[in-house]
Amino acid sequence: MNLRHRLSTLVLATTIAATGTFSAIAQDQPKSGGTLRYAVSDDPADFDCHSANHFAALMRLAPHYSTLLRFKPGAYPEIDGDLAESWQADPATMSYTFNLRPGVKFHDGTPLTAKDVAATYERLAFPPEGVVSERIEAFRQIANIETVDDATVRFTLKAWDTSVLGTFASPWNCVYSAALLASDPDYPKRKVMGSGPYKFDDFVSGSVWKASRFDGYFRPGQPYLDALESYTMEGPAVANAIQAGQVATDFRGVSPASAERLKGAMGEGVAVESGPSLTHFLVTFNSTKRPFDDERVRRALNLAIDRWGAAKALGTTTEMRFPGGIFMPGGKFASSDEELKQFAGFGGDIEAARAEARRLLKEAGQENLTFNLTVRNGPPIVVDFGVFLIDQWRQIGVTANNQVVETPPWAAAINSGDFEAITDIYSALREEPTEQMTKYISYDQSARSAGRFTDRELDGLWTKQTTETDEAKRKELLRAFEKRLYEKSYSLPVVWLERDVAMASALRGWTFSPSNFLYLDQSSTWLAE
Amino acid sequence: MIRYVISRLLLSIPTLLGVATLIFFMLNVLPGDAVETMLRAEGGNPTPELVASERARLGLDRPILVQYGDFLSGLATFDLGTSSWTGKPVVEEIALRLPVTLQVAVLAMLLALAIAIPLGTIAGVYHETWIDYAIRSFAIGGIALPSFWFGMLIALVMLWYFNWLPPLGSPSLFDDPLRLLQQLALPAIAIGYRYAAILIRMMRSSVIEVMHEDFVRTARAKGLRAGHIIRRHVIPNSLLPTITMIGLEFALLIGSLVVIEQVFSLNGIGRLFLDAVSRSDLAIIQGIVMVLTVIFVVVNLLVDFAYAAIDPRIKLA
Repeated sequence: MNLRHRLSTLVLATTIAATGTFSAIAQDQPKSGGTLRYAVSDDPADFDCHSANHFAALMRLAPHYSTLLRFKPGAYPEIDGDLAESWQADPATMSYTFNLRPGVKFHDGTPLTAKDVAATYERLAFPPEGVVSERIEAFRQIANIETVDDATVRFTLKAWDTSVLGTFASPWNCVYSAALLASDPDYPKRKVMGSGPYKFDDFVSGSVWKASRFDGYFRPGQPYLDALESYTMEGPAVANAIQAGQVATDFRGVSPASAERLKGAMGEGVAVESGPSLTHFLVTFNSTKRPFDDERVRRALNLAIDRWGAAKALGTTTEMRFPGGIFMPGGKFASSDEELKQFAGFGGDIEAARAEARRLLKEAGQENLTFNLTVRNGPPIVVDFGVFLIDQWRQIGVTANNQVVETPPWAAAINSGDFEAITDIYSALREEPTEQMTKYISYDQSARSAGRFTDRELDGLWTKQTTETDEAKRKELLRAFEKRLYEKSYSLPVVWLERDVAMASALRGWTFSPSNFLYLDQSSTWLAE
Repeated sequence: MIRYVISRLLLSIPTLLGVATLIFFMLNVLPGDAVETMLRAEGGNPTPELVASERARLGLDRPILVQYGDFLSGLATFDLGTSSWTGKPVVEEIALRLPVTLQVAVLAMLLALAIAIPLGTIAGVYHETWIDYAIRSFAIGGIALPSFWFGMLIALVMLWYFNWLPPLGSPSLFDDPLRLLQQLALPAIAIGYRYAAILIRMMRSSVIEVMHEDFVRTARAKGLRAGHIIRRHVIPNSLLPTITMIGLEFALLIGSLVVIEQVFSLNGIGRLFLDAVSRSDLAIIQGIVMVLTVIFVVVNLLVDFAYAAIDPRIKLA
């Protein structure tokens, strides 16, 4: 059975498992009451969804806020209205018009109107001085935001782009109070006040975040739980706490080894949902620095990586399970195994690829190449990935020095271009090429693309696919993009992760998806016991 | 005695000043610009103007000696600056977590003393017998096992055999002392074992030495009972080197807590210290090192006072 079949089976198994869960839910009516306790690996630096970039921040903040649209629970990746009751897309005027639900209230009792939505998106798309909008590139197509009346808001785009709809469903785009923003544009950093299913109660840094049911929540009967308590913990402590019944889960997931251990120890007391994740590891070369400004050197380093072997070797002990390109393996936009094998760096014959890599290095005069690989000192798997790459390059005579640094200097290096080669993790919110490809286009088009290169052919293919409505033609453009990217080897996807979420069997109503960022508001989560 | 206490207190001032000076200048001569690193970590390439304005906001554009003066006056008024990660005062961040760390440390110390003094004495009194061998094996085990590994092991044993782990959250000593004890017992055992092991060996050696002193022989010759000799003469005289070791080991015990707090998900300053290092939060690092220094100095002052209380020769000298 090849990888694609195995993945399809896995996706199917997940779907069946999820369907089974939903059937069970359909039979079991959601119960109200109880406190959901869960683990979160880190604390947020502040409370602003718009400037946050760590999933741990979203795990704490999402239950307190509503968004314009949302990913429909139990139906990933279907998009549903959250604050918006309905919406109209008009390609002729390049506008989206949203009609808001009536009677929505903030936790302080003030009504939520179109003014609040408009003020929120103004802050996201056109942040005032001193305000950080972390995902500002997602709003690049927004030209104007207009409040039609108290219940209607209209967005006019610079160019028609259907991918923008997913942006309105992003859980990062928490809707804030316009009145509070007017008095202090930076208030969300220090105050949690939204219209989501749970009200903020207390936060003890390094320990626990507490929230309680918002009785004025706009979805009748929801939320089901009385309270949420999320505890700061990570590593083996999480699996231990799940086994001891102290927490129900960590929605981010646990390692495959921990998932197996919990299944063995808890039997039917735990349910593990597994599936491909929208997270992959990549390595980027700084194309402005010698010798990485030479295509032959980058391509040689690409050819030396045995991605198929990596998945076999690393996948037995870690989440690094699937070789893949820039789209999630097994997903609707991914290349098939056969297509991948046509691309540079993905061929089945690693020895032939490495012989070609040595030839290219010789031709470039870099047979004894030595450089620094900057690796973030994050979870052990991140460091493991760096060690794997170094070992792959060692096999073609290249010496990469493992430069493990803490997160701030790593982030500073990737943002400033002060590196030779650097490893990175990219977690996408959804399968949407326009968003996912921003990691791999020219730097002047996307600051997320760390390689500092300029390649108008790649940029052109990216732009073309944003407006291509024929799925087959769009896929052709995506394949052409991938082919060019791997040949030029500016930045290389290497391996994709699996997501294993272990949950106490009493936890119901939560939706498993390939993304760490979704379904964290806990509006439909309930406890059976 | 009062003169002795006052002189020891006065001597601790230059010690603290020296450490504060060392910490300040060591962190300020580190390579790299912390402000630039912080801004770059937030995204993009900060302009020189932005870096300069941020440095001005944090007061880092002033001459180093002016900053040093400010640091010292801040210390005198318990103002340790602001965390670059959370934006909260460092004192607030440390004060939130210090009680947990101190509670574990004190509990571990009490546990260690409760184990070490009797076992060390018994091993010394019955030296070179099977009792001594058993106690020494127990002590060697404590020294050989890394505290974090022992902590993980006892947590797993409690989990697998009793399906129990210390409770989560931050119970208060005054509101829920039992819950607090449940939370701190395992970490205290994990680090207290090593602490006890070292004290057992020290106590045993001291007891063996004292047992051969003339005054013990005299007490025996007078016909005093063995138990009385040990309680009245051997133990008090054996405690002096053990007390020295208590002071020195307390600092190491606080160091062990950095990892133990991570193992048991305790919200103490050890965990804060690790987070601060990974986030390059210099103000927090500086603050914690200063607090740990103060704790170390205070513990050693107490050790000195204990000497004076136990041994009249020190008081008189």
